[in-house]
Amino acid sequence: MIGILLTIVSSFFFLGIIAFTKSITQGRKGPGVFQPLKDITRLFKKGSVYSSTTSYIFKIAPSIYFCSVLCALLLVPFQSQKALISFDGDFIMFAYLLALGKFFMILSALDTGSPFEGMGANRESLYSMLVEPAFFILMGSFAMYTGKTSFQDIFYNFIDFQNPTTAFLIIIAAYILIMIAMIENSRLPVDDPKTHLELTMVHEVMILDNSGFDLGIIMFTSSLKFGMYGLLICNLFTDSTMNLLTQISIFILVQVIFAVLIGLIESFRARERMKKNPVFIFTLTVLSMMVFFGVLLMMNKM
Amino acid sequence: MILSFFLILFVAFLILFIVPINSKSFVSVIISLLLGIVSSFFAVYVMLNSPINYLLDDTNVIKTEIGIDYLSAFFIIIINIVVIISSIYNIGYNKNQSNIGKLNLHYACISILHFSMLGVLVCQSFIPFLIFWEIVAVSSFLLILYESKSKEIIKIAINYLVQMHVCMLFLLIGAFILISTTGIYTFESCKTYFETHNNFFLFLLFFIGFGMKAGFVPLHTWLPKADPAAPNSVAAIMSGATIKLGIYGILRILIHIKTQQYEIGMFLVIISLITGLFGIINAIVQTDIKKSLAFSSIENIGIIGLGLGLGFIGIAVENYSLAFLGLAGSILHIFNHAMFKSLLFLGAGNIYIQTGTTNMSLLGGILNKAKVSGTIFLIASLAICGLPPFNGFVSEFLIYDGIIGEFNKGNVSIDVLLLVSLFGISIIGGMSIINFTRMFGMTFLGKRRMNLSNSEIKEVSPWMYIPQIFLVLIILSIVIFSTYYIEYVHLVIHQFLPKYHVIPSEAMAPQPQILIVIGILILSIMIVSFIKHYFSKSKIIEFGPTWGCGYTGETSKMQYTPSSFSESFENITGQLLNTNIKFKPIDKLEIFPTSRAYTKANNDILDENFLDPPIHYIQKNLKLFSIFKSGNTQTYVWYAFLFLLILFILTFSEII
Repeated sequence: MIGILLTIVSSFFFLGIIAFTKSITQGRKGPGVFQPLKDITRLFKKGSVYSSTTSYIFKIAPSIYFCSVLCALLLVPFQSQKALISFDGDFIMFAYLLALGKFFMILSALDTGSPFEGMGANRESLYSMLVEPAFFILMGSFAMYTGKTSFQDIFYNFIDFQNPTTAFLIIIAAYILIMIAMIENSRLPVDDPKTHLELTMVHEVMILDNSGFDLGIIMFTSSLKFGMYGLLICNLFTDSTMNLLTQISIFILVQVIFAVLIGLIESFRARERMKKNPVFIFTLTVLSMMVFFGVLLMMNKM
Repeated sequence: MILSFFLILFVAFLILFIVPINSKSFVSVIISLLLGIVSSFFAVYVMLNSPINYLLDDTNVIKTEIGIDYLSAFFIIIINIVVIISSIYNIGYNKNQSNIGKLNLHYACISILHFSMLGVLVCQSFIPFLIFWEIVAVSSFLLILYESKSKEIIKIAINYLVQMHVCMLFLLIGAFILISTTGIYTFESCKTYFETHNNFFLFLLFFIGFGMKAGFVPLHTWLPKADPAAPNSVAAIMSGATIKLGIYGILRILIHIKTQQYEIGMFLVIISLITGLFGIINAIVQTDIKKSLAFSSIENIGIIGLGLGLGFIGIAVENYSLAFLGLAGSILHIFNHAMFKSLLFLGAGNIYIQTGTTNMSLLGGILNKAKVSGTIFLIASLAICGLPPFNGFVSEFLIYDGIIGEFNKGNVSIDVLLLVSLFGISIIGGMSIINFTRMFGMTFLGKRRMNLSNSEIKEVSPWMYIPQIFLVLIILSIVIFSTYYIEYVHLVIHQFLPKYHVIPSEAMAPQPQILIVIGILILSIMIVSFIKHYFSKSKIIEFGPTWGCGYTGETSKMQYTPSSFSESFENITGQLLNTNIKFKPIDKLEIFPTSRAYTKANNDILDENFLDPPIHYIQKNLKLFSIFKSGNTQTYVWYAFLFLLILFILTFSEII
C-alpha cells in the first residue's frame, strides 16, 4: 500500500523534475517542479473537442489506459511491504494489463481517421511488440534465480550485493528496465516528445485529437507509468532487511536519479532514426538473454 | 432407442429438401440441434460419470467400437457449440439467397459435416474412423464450393480435396502398420505398438496426417486458401471445429505414447513455435480479413501445440506441474480458440453482409453505424490477443505460468528450450496485438475508405448477432468460472498422465486473484468514466473535424491503410514473406507521367517454395505418359491385348 501511495505521489513530481533538469542544462531558469501537475489540473477543468469521425472507443480509451496502469500498479510490491494483490505469475498479468491499455490507445488513434495518428499507432504497436520478450525473459531469469514466480516473492528473495556477478547482473537488469520504461513512455532515444514535426513523433502524435479531461488523464498515466517503473527499479536495489525509512529514502533517491537521468539524456542526445529503432529495441531482448545466461552460470548449471 | 433417433434424423434430413426456401435454414438448425443435444447429453454424462464404451460388431472384419472418453466428450461439446451457433447464424446470413439447389446442397452438407465430425470423435476403431474422416473432407469440399462464382474457388476447393487425401494416405499407412503388427483394430493398438516398438517414425506419420488437417507449418497451405473461399458460417465451422479434429487425432495418438515423450515434446515445441511465428507474421500482412483470420488460426494452432509439447516434456522429466500447466493451457486454448475464432469469422460475415466485401483496404467506419456487431468483433479481438478480461488470457496464462515456474527445476537443455518458448510466445502475443488492432482499426474505425456499392451500412439482423452474443457469453463464462473449466480440462488431462494426479496448486491458486484484478479493473473504469462524466457536465463539448495539422482538404483516402500500417513490420520480417508488388516506377525522362496502378499481394512463401516444386516435378514427369493417350478406341483395345499377352507369357514361363 505504501508503495502505491509513494508511486502516486512521486508521479506528481516526476515530469517536473525532468523538465527542471532540462532547463538547468540549457541554462534556463525553467518552470517549477509542479508545473506539469498544474498543466494536468488545468486540463481537467477544460471542456473537450471531439472529432466527428470518432466512435465510443475514442472516448473510453484514455480511461481504460489509466485504469490498466493503475491495476498493474496493484501487483507491484515495495520490497518488504506486500503488494496489494500477489499471486504466482502476476508479472504476466502486469504485462498483459499494460498491453490492454496500449491496445485501446492504438485503437483510439486509428479511430480519428487521421493519417498522422495512424502512423503513430503503427509505430507504437511495433515497438511494444518488440519490447515484450525483453521484459518476459528478464522476469523469467529472476524467477529462475529465486525459484519464485510472483513479483513479491522474487524481490523478497532477491538481493545479494556482496557477489560482484550479481551486482553486475542487477545493473544490466536496471538498464533494461529503464529502457523499457523509456520505450513504454515514448521518450528518447526511441521517441522525442518535444519534437515539432508530427511525422517524427510516436506517442505524442497518437493523442493529437485528445483534449480536456482525456488529455489530462493520458498525461497523468504517463507519469504514473514512470513512477511504476521507478518502483520496480527501486525494488532491485533495496533489501528486505532494511528498515522502512531506509527503503523509502532509497525509493526517493531512485526516482530522482531516474528523472534526472531522463532529463540529461534528453538534453544531450538526439533521437535514433526511426529505421534504427527496431534494432535498438531488439537489443534489449538480447541483453535480457545475457542476464538469463548469467543466471545460469551463477547457478552452476552451465 | 438409438435406432429411432437415427430414423428421426433421417426423416428431418429428407424434410430439408422438401420444405420451402425460407424454412430450410430452420430445418437445418433443428437437425444440428437434434444431433447436438443428443451427443452433448452423452458427452456431459461422460464428463460427470465415467467413459462409455460399446462394441457394435465383433464378428465382422470391420470391427466397430464406439466409445466416448473424456477427450472425445470435450471435443464433442466444442463441435456442437460451433456448429449450432453457425447454423442459427445461417438463418440471417442466407436470407437473400434464392438458388434452391445451392441451398439444399449447402444445408445438407452442413448436417453431414456435423454428423461425420461427431462420428470421427466417437469411433475408436480405425476403419470407421477413417471413413468418417473422409466424409468430413468431402462435405467440407462441397461447402467451400458454395460460392463458386470464379474458377479460382473451384481450384482452391480441389486443392483442399487433394491435400486432404494426401493426409488420408498418411493416416492409412499409419493405421495399416498398426493393424498389421498388432492385429488390433482400435486405437488401443497404439498402446501395444508403442510399448514394444521404440518408434518415432510412426508418430511422425500420424503427425503429418493429422497435422495437415490441423494446419501445422509447413502442412498448412490449404487453410489460408480454403477459409477465405468458403462462406463465413462455413469458415467459422472449419476454423473453429474442423481443424480441431486434427488436434484431436494427435491427442488420440499421444494418449497411448508412454515412451520417448521427451523427443516428441521437443519436436512438438519446435514445430509449434515455427507454426505460431509463421502464422502470425503472415496474418499481419494480409489485406483480406478472412485470410488474415485463417493465418491467425495457424498461429493459435502453434500456441496449442506449444502447450502440448511443454506438457509432454513435463511428463518425460516427471515434473507434473509443468505437465499439467502445459496440457491444461493447450486444451483450454483449443476450447477458447474455437469460441473466439468462430466469433471472428461470423463477425467477418456481418461485415460481408453490410458492405459486400471483406477487403480491409476498402472498409472503415463501421462501428459508428453498427455498434453491436462492432463491439462483438472488438471483444473477440481482445480475447484472441489474450488480453484480460477475456478468455484467451486464461489459457495463455497457464502456458506462461508453466514455462516460468519450471525454470528453477530443470537442467540446462530444458531451460534453453523454455527460454526459446518464452521468447516465442511473448513475441507472438505482441504480434497478435499488431494484427488485431490493425484489423479492427482498419475495418471499424475511421472513415469508409472506398464505397463500391453506394449503400449505407446498416446493423445486421438479430438472427445474426444474437448467436454471436451467445458466444460472447461463453467467452465471459470461461473467465468468471475458470476454476470449473480447469477442473473439467483436468479430466481430459489425466488420461495423459501415467497415474492419477490432483490439480497442482500453481494452476488453481492464481485464478481467484486474477478475477479480483479484473474486477478492480472494470470497477475502476466505471469510476473513472463517472468522474469524467461529472467533470465534463458543466463544460462545453464540441464536435469538429479531425485535426489535420492545419490542412483542411482531407479525404477518407488519406487515412492510414492496412498496407501502410503493416509496412514497417514488413521491413523487419521481409525475408519471411513473399511480397509481390506490381508497379512501374516513373522514369526520369517521363515528363508527363501516364496513369498507373499499384498492386501488392502477399502470398504464402512456403506454398510457392515448398509445395509447388515437387508438384511441378511430378506433373512434368507424368506428362511423359500422355503419349499413351491417343483417343482412338482401337489403340486402347491394342493395349488390353498387349497386357493380356504379357500376362500370358509371364504365366507360361512361370515367372508369376
